[in-house]
Amino acid sequence: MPQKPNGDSAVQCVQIHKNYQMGEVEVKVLRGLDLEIKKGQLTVIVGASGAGKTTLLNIIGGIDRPTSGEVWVDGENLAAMTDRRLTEYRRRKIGFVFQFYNLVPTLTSIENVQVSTQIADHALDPAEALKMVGLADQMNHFPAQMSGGQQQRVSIARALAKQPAIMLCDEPTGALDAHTGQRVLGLLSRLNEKMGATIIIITHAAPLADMAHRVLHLTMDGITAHDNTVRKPAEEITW
Amino acid sequence: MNILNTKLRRDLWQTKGMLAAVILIVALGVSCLVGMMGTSQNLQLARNLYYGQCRMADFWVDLKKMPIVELDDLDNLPGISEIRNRIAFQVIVDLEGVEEPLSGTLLTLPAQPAPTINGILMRSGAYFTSRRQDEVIVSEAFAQARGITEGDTIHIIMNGQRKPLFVVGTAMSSEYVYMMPPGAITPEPSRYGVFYVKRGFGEDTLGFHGACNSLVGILSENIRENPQPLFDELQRRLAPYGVFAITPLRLQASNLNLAGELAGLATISFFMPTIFMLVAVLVLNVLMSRLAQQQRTVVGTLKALGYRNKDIFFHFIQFGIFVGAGGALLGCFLGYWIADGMTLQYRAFFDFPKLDNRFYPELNLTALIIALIFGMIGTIKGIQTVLALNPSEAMRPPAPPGGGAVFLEAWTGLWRKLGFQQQIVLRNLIRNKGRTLTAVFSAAMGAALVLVTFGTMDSLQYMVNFRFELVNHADYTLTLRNDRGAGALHEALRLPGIIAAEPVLNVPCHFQNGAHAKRGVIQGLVHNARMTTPRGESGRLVRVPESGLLMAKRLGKELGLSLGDTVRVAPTQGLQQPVNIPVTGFIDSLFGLCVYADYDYLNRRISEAGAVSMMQLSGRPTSAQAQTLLRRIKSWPDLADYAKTSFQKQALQQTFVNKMGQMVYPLILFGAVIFFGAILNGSLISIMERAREIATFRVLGYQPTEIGAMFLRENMIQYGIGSLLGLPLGWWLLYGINSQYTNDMYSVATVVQPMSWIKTVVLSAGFILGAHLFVHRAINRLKWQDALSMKE
Repeated sequence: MPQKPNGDSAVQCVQIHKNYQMGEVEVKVLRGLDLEIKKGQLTVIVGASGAGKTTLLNIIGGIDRPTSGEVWVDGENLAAMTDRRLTEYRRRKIGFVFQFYNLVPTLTSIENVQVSTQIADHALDPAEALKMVGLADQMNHFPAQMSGGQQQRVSIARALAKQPAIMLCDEPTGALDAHTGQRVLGLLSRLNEKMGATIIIITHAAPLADMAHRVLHLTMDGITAHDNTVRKPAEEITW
Repeated sequence: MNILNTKLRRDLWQTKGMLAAVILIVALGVSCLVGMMGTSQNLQLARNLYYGQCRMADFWVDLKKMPIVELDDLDNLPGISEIRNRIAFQVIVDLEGVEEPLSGTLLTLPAQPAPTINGILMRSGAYFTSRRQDEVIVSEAFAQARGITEGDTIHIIMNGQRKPLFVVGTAMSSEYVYMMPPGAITPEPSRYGVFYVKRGFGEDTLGFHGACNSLVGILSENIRENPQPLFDELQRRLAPYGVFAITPLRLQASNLNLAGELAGLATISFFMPTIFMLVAVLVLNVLMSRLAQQQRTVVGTLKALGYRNKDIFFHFIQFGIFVGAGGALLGCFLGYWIADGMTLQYRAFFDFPKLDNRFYPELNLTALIIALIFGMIGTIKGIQTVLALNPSEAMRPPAPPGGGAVFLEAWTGLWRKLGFQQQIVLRNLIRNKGRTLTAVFSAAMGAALVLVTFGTMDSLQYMVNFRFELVNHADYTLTLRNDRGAGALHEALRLPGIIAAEPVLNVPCHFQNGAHAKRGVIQGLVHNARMTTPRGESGRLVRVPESGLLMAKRLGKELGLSLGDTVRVAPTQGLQQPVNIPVTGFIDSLFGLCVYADYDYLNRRISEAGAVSMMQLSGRPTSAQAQTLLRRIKSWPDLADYAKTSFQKQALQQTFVNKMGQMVYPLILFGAVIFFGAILNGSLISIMERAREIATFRVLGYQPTEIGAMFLRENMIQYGIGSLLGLPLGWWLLYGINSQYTNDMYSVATVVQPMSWIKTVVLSAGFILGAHLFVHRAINRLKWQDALSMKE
């Protein structure tokens, strides 16, 4: 594998290892992973529970560090960055969508989006971001007053309002019913098409892979990749 | 970060109840600091102003008699900036319509008003005129107590003569901020006054032409730190004139009392705020730990979004700033009000022309800074664990708390006998060690404050009882100006209504043991004296030995003396021949540094025979007999002072004990706030964390009271243990405070009566139960159905 990514790569991981110390036992979660994610693509990483999907996403997102290996984003190796530098990386380049939304309960929808726009260099207008996810009439609602799907859409609005280079979605439909999940996936798909955002979705639901440009299969033994020649629209995905 | 400020505002509102409790604790700490330091500064300001206005002396010299011309030498003595001579005389005051002989000190002043050492401030009327020689200016407190105004004529008995004096005005002097009659402990303005007369009048009436018996002086700046060499030189030069005492300002009776009070205030204003701040830090730590754990995911999300650690730290630290600032603001208001009240109380003790409460910006600013620091410390300790997590860890739920057996379960027999509800309670307490220790500490502090309150009153009451029920059994004490012979005693026994009389020989002297020296008085008591019965530890009666001295322990300690040691005694009156006397016993002495000896033995050692300085009488005269008794006493030419024990006791009880109670009892409220604040905080947090557990019990069919009972058991155990620990802590705190009020004039014994221990425990239990009412209300109001649907 080349030491630095080529111009088409959004993310390039080289021999990523991640181990966790659980008391006296060392648990190896990622074992020498190599992968490449292209810019502007919607990539789905599938794998069973415990395969290390969230760990991989967290490393790419700069909220965790690999035990060893290199993670190249925009010509920089995340593994060699200081904490301060990683924070800046997350601030400027990453948008995160969490499985359980992680909204601030004491802030309204628009305020939750402002949490990210206020620290971004080139942010969208928060109201505009909420309109894009179809929540123009829920701007002043608190999370407790919204359904799971609506909360997830606020989370997406918060991520995309930063206009990040990469959007990372950790099981974005994991807490939602199938119908709502489809709507969320459709939204992510449209964002990828219209804004050209690099989107990485991790999921344990294999059917979601059909909507991706590229699919990475993560198992305990490693990672395999294939490109979809035909993609299914998000609305037709069932799981 | 505007949006984080919005979050902050809403988070503050959500936790308003718990924050209010912590703010109140901080506020009380600040109010103690501002109130007591403010009061202290009020007293110091008033003192400094007063001393400056009256040109307060740095030293006093009491002599038998000295020609004024000798002063020329002293004027040039290095170390003396200025010196003034005057005549001082103990007199009896005979007021119309007042049977009782009242005491007074006559002091001479220049006929013309001029700035002078230990000058006076006119309060009404005018200074002396040239119209009459017998003009007098009366001390304001006495004049007000006795309704004396300008134009009145009062009679003073001095040198056996009853002299009329014409009142031209009333005045105050910084020499008598704390105006005590001789032999008394508290001010008695209706019984004792100071009377200023013209120099010429004093000379003529007292036979002091061209002479004086009192010097007051101001030191040069360069020897203020160590004036003892100057005093030694003065002693040497003035020895031919019979020096009774050289008293520096720090030992002058009035100043000594004031200084003692200031020292006590300084101690309390350190300990009290410290207690409150420590409790506030711990309680805030618990609250912020809970908040940080609750917002763990939010913290992780913010970090994931790119918020820097310092942004998140600054966001949370504002909780601490809010608590500190809120507590400081409220505390400064309360403190000002406390200082106002305390200053008002002090006006009953201390006589200042102006004693006002002021606002001290520096003090309030200091209090604010301290409150902010403690608020931030409590917050930082609470949030640092969560802040240190990396974003992915923070967003993961925390590891489940340890669920193993607790150490008590090793005693299986006992453990099984406890019901499951008791087991839940004990496991919760032991597993949450930090919170349990916070609760125990808070309760200990609260209980300690309550015990200090009761103990202070017990200690003061003990002092009164010690003096008037254990030591002093006389009904009347007559002090003579000059020592007389046995004839005085016979005369006293012939007074109507008097059934017994005992003579006392007072020998003012200097004690010396090597490098240690101290001024004092030896009281010679007759064998098996009944009027004065010295006491040892716990009030045990101690007989005066046939030879040697029975000495107050405190004095013995200062002189470095042990039982059997010999002390050099140099009488300051009479032949003034030093003698060496062994110390054959030690006693407790709460008032003064008492030294006793056998009457006959003492007479022999100072080469006297049957000299009488004072007589203690007992009797129950009828009112007619009392009138005659008082009339005859008044006419005694040698009478310097008359005291009726019951009046003294009443004055001490009212002025000292009862007034102190008004200042001290509010401490119980402070203790209550600590209990309430800590219990409410701890319990409300616990309810939030255990909402699912509570909901489960409700589903199972438990009533809110039954669930509340579990919380009550937890609180009773942890706060009960704390309260019990607070008892010895309170005693120790009381001991520390009382030791600051120890000086040559009195020593406050640390006494806590059995009822006070019980009252403290009962009150503490009451506070716990009272706080539980609010806890019970919170349990009743909990939306337990929502708790069941919360995600893990």
